[in-house]
Amino acid sequence: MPIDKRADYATDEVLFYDDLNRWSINGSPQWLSDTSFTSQSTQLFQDVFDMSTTTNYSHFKIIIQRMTGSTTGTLQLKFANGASVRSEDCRFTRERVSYAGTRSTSLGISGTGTLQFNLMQLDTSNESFGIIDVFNPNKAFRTQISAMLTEGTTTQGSVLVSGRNNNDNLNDGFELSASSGTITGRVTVYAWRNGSL
Amino acid sequence: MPPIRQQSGQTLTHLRVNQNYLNNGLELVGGNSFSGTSVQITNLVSAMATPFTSRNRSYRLVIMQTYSTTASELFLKLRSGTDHSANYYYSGTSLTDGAVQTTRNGSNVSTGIRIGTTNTNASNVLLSATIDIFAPQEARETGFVVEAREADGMYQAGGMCDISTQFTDFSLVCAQTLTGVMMLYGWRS
Repeated sequence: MPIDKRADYATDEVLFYDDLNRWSINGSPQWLSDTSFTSQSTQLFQDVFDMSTTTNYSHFKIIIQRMTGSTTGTLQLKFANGASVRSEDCRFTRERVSYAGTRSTSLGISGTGTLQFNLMQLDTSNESFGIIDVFNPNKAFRTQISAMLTEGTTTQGSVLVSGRNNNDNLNDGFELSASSGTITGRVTVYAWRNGSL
Repeated sequence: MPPIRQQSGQTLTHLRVNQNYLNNGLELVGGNSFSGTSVQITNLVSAMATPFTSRNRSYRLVIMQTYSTTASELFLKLRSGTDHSANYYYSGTSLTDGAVQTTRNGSNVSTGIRIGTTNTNASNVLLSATIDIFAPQEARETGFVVEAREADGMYQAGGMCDISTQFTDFSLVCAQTLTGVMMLYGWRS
């Protein structure tokens, strides 16, 4: 019989593994972290990609909420390992469609000195949102991202970014920053389980 | 936090259950089938008087169309007692199976956020979509991200409702009679 996780289990009680139903065990995605920050020139999210148990997670989802900048800079993402933030070759395609219907594209390609993933344009008061999927950051593969983002002002638009870095480094986290000024916002990280535990 | 591996016969403490099993990132709020030209979510989730609450900051809505009398665009409107019909901004692109790209956008429109184009049940390419809704119950602007399989291709868009209203629910609005199923999940924060 399924167990009501919230109501039927109290402090000091014990529960046998065998009693847990498979739905609970295999619940996914898993919530990993929730961070609010204010006026940061760089915001590091360290040890969120779970390096110690790489067989459990390999696909992560980052939800960005209430993001503003002290200037109208571009929100940027770099991967990191511990406190070491990687300035590495990032290759991506980026499409932006304004709310007025104007479409534009930009690229981050090898040799152009693009050492971060360029995401969306920030505003100083209107808040931006978005979701970034991250694939295999904690494995010795290229790390790939896919992002769908919504800029905050009525003269801006939506942004679609897809790309990868160009090395096989292991990364346990990431850093957000702006091309100029500081950032304020809230970031939640989730993980998709690879299989049954 | 990594999941804890448990073996058959081992016991779990209250703390470990909290660590391991209460951290599911998506929580089912409710779901049901729907039919009509303007369907309010409060009528779909019988156990939920207000789908948007402070329990979850953001939400994921999954919609699968099963029937439509005529192909038509589907929109989502936020509600706070009544449909909110202003202040919507969205932009994105449709890309058909024939590689035809079309810009989809609305700037300060009353229609709601565009979800995609439906199709009739004469075809097997009915509309299916996921819509992430960011903090609708907070007294600030509400953000959206839409990814959909439309009648003839893919559609991706982002947008917002640019008003500081606390919304409690939403409507699906379609000019033609539409049936389908939907599930609403809350992102744990």
